Amino acid sequence: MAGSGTISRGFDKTLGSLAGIFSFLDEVLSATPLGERGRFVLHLAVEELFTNMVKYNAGAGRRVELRVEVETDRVRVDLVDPDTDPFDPTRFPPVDTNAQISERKRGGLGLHLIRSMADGLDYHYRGREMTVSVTQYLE
Amino acid sequence: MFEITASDDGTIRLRGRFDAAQVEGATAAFDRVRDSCTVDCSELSYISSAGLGLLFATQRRLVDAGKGLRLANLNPHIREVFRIAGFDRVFEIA
Repeated sequence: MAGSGTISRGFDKTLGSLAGIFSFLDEVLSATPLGERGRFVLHLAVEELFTNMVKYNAGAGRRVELRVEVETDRVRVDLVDPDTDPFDPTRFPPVDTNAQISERKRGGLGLHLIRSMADGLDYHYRGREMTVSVTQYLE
Repeated sequence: MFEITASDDGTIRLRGRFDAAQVEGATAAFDRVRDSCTVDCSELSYISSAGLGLLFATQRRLVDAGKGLRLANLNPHIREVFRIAGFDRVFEIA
C-alpha cells in the first residue's frame, strides 16, 4: 500500500507503456519543484530500469507498478515487479567508456548513466518481488 | 513523438524523444546512412541508451568505412549524457 505522499500506477510490461510512463511521471513531477535536469534524469532512469524489466523478465509478471514518493527534499520512484528473477542493477559491472569505438561492448550503458546521473539507486528483492528505486534530490 | 528527417544537403534532423520504443522505427532510417553527415539535434529533447545504441551502431559502421556522423546542437542534458557515456570521444560533436 502506498504511503502518504506516494502516487502509484501499474503499467503493462511492454515498450508500448513508455509513453504512458513518461506522462505519469510528468503529471506527478509537475507538482514538485524538481528542475528540468532532475526530470530528465528521472525519465532516463525509469526508462532504463523499466526496459530492463521488459527485456530480461518479460515472461514473468505482466505488470510493473511505479510508485512516486515526493518528500520535502527528494523524489523517489520505485519500480516494482511482483514476479521476477533477481537482477541487482547496483552490482552490474562498470562500462569502459574509454574503450575505442571498435572495442566497446554492448550492454550496461543505461545502468552506467543512471549510476552517474541519479542521486540514488537502490535494490530490494524478496519472495520474487523486485523493487528498484531511483532517487533525485530537489534542486 | 520522435521524427527523423533528411534534408537535401544530407543533414539528418532528429525531433522529439528518442526512447526505446522508437528504435525499431528509427533503425531503417539510420541503416540508409552511407556517408558522413551532420545530425542536427536542436529539436531532440531526450535520448536514452536505446537511442544512443542505434547512433553508436551507425557510427561504428561509418567509421569502419572511413566516415562518420557529426552531431550538432545538443541540448545540455543530452550533451551530458553523451559525455558520461564517453560518446564525446566516439562522435564529432559541434
